[in-house]
Amino acid sequence: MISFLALFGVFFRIGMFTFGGGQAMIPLLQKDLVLNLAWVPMKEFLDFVAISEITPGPVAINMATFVGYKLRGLTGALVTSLGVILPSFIIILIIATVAHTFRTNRWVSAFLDGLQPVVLALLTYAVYSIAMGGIPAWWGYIAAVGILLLILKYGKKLNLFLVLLAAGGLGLLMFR
Amino acid sequence: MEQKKLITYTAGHASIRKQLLLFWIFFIIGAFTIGGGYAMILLMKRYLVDQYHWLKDEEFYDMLAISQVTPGPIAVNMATFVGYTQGGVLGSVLATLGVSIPAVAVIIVIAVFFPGFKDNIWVQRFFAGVIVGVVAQIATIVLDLGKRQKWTIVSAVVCAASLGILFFVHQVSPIWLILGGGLVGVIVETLKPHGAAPATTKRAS
Repeated sequence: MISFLALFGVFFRIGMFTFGGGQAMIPLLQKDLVLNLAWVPMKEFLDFVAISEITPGPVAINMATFVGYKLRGLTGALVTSLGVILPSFIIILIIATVAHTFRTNRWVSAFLDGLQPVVLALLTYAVYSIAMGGIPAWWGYIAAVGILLLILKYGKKLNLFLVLLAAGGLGLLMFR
Repeated sequence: MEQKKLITYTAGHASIRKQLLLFWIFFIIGAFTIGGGYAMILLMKRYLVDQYHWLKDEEFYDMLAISQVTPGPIAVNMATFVGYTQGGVLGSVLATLGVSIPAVAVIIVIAVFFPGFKDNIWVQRFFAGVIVGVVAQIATIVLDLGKRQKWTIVSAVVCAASLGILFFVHQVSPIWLILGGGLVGVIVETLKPHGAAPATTKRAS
C-alpha cells in the first residue's frame, strides 16, 4: 500500500519543478510513476493522459486526481491533487506579495517586457501543436480559421461557451 | 524616480460577494478549459478584463507572463495571482479551488462511472470538434498579444528565435526561452541612457 505521504510527495515535487504548464509535467510523471516507482503500468498511464486531455480542467490536476484515485481511492485523489496545486499556490502567493514593485522597478519591468515576445512565441507554438495533435481532418483547420474570424468580427458579443459547444457539435457531425 | 505607479499589484480586499464571484468565475473557467491551460486564456480575459474590469490588458498579460515563468499549471498560477490581487489570501484560495474543483470532480466521476469514456467514438468526435474551437481561441489571443507587443528589432528577433527553437529543437523546456527573453529585456535596459525609465513611459498609454 502506497502511503498518502509518498503520493503527496511525488506530486508536490513535480508541481514544484515543472516549468511551462501542466503539459510539461506528463513526461516527468511518466518517468516517476511508470519507470522509477512502477506504481502505474505504461498502458494505463497513456489512458490517463488521453482522458486528461479531453476532460475539463488543467491537465496536471486531471492526471493527479486520476493517479491518486487509482492508487488510494477518493482520499488519494484529493491528496495528489492538493500536492500538485500547492507548490504553484505558494510560489505565486509569495510573488504576488512583492508584485506591487513589478512595474515600478526598472529591472523587473525590463525583464517582463523581455518576456512578452517569448510568451507570444509559446502561444503561437501552442496553436500549432494543439491543432496538429487534435484536428483530424483538413477542413477542421478551415473551420478553425472560420471561428477565429467570427471571434474577431463579433468580439465580446460572441459567447465563447456557445462557440466551443458549436465546435463540438460540428465535430460530432463531421469527423469520421 | 517613478512617481506615477501605473500598474500596481497589491492584495485586494473584497466583499463576500466578490469573493464568491471570484470562486464562481474560476470554477466556470476550470470547467470549460479543455485541452490544457492555454485554452482558457481567452475566457479568462473576457471575464477579468472585459466583463468585470478587474484587470487592465497590460496587467493581464503581465500575470500571464509571470504564470509561465513560475512552476506549475498555468491555470492554477493565474487563479492564485488574480485571486490574491482581487481578494487577498482568501481570494487566492477561492480562485485556486474554483479552477481546480471541476478537474478533480470530472476525473473522479469518469474513474468511477465511465471507465470506457475515452474509447467512445462520439466523445472522440465531440472532443476533436472542441479542439477546433480551442485552436481558434488561442489564435485570437496570439493576434491580440501580437498587436499589443511593442515591436522593436530586438523583440522581433527574440520572438522569431523563440519560434525557431520551438519548431526545430525538440524537448526544449520553455523556461529557458522565457528566462532568455527576460535577460534580453534586462540587457536592452542596461544599454539605455541613464535615468530613461522607459518601461513606465512606454506603458503610459
